[in-house]
Amino acid sequence: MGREYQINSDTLLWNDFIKGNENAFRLIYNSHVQSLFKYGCNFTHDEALIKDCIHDVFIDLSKYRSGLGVTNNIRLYLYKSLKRKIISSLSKGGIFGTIDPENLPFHYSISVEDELIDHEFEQQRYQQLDNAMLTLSPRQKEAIYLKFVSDLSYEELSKVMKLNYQSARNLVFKGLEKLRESYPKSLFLFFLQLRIQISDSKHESQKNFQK
Amino acid sequence: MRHSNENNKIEFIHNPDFVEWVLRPSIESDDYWKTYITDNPSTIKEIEHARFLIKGLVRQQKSLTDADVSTLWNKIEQTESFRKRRFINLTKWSIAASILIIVGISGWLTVKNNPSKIKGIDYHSIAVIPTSGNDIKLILSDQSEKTFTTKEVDLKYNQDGQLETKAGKQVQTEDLSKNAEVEQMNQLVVPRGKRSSIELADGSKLWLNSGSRAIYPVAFNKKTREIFIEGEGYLEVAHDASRPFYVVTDRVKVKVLGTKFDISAYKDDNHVSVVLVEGSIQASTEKESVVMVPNQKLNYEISTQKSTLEKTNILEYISWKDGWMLCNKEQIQSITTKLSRYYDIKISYSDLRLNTMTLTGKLDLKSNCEEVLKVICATAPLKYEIIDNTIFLKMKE
Repeated sequence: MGREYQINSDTLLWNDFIKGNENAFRLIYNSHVQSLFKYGCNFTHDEALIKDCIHDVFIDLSKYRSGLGVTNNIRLYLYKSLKRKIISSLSKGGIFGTIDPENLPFHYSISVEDELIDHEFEQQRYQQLDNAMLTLSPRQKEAIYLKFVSDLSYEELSKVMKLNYQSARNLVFKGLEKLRESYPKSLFLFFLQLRIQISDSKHESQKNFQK
Repeated sequence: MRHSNENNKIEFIHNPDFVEWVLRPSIESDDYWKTYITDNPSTIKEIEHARFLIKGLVRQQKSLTDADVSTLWNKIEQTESFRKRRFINLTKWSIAASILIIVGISGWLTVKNNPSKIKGIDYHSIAVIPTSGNDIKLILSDQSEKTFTTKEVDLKYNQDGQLETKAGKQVQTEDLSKNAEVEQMNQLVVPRGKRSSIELADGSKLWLNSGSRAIYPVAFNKKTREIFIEGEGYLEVAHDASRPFYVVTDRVKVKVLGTKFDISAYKDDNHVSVVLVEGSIQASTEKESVVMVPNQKLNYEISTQKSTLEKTNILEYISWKDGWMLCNKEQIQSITTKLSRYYDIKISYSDLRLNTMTLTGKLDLKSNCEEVLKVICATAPLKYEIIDNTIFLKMKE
């Protein structure tokens, strides 16, 4: 009945960083800056604000490094930190007054413009999906984003969103259900093409949708 | 009809394996789902729907350009260095004061009932050493003692009877009086928390781990080369076909022709183990003799006098000499014993659940004990507390 624990590279990297290793610090930055930025973009369209918040996250990291606890999950630590900074920034900006974290906006929208889409059908379908997203609450959208785009585990998700594990799962489930309901099915013709597609290629991508 | 369709859709989009296949297809998942679709052609509509939904959710998000990434980093660095310059006296990255407390060393040796049956030399009479001090001690053949206060000491003997000692930054060379009649024996005592290396007169190198001692001649005059080890030592034996090398421990004697191996024979352990890295050795116990090949480990249980031979990852046993410990599903108990010796600090726990835990991975021993504990507590659900010079491990509830 033994439990096996793996000392992972995050723990070691974080430890090196805490001891003052500047390369470790840079590696942490390079590994996470993009995903942090993308996550941040959902809270506001103000890119400068997001970059400032990321800057502050890393400055704090550097400033308080010797007092930081050990972590075995750097990404989770950074996500939580960024969210806190963004909420704090947005509150100060006075746009929302005191922000109720429950209602913190999350603009998770499905991009319709994309060079890869040449099929009008697809464009329509993405638009429909985008519309369907509007029926979701900000928290449902955030939960789905963190699960599908950031690829967090439910455990990590619940920590970022400050929920218990079951609530986190429910959010994602309900959100997906809403999407499924309000997102209509497409024409049969489309499916036929897709059937050919699936049986032909090993790795399907949107680019390969045949006319 | 519609009802069952909806049920299928619920499955797909909520199915983590399905999502994984859509986002990160692999050959296996592709095969699986293609087969599924072939076997259940009515589901193709649902599947396509779910696929499109999932792919829509992860569509290209806004990202930073490479230039943006570097600019932001430069800004971070700038702010950092500006801050550091202002607080030039504060070393922010300094680690909290070390908590290493040397626990007094209890009696080294008790005279055994079964003295090692070694030709000529009764190691046990030599190995009885007064227990005073926590420092590395070198006892020369004239019984004079040298004490070193550093954590590590490196000794180097050469053919001409000269000894060079390196302790921290201090290097000393001296001439040990040469007497061709009798092999002069030196003894190095390495207490808990310390480590040493000895380069013997024939070029062989011995690394001694914490809580160990070695008794060896200043120069190998006779037809054989023989040393005594108690505790743990890693040896790289210089090849000399005319003079086989023998390592004597309390229970196991190893014959070497030119090779690298680790031998662990601690007084308070109930086993002796020999791990062969390179070359060939013959290990003998009271009951039997075994020839070993590289990457093998011989484990000799003292109580049962049973020997077992098995294949092993040698790095798990010798990494200590380079300052790190490689664990492979190693029990917490074993890890804490080793750390306890290495840092000379008491580590204990009362929660029996810790006995069922194992750790896998690499621990850097060059930092202090608390650093290592922090890594362990970040990996397994444990926390540590220091009470009265002892480290207590508890479950993190």
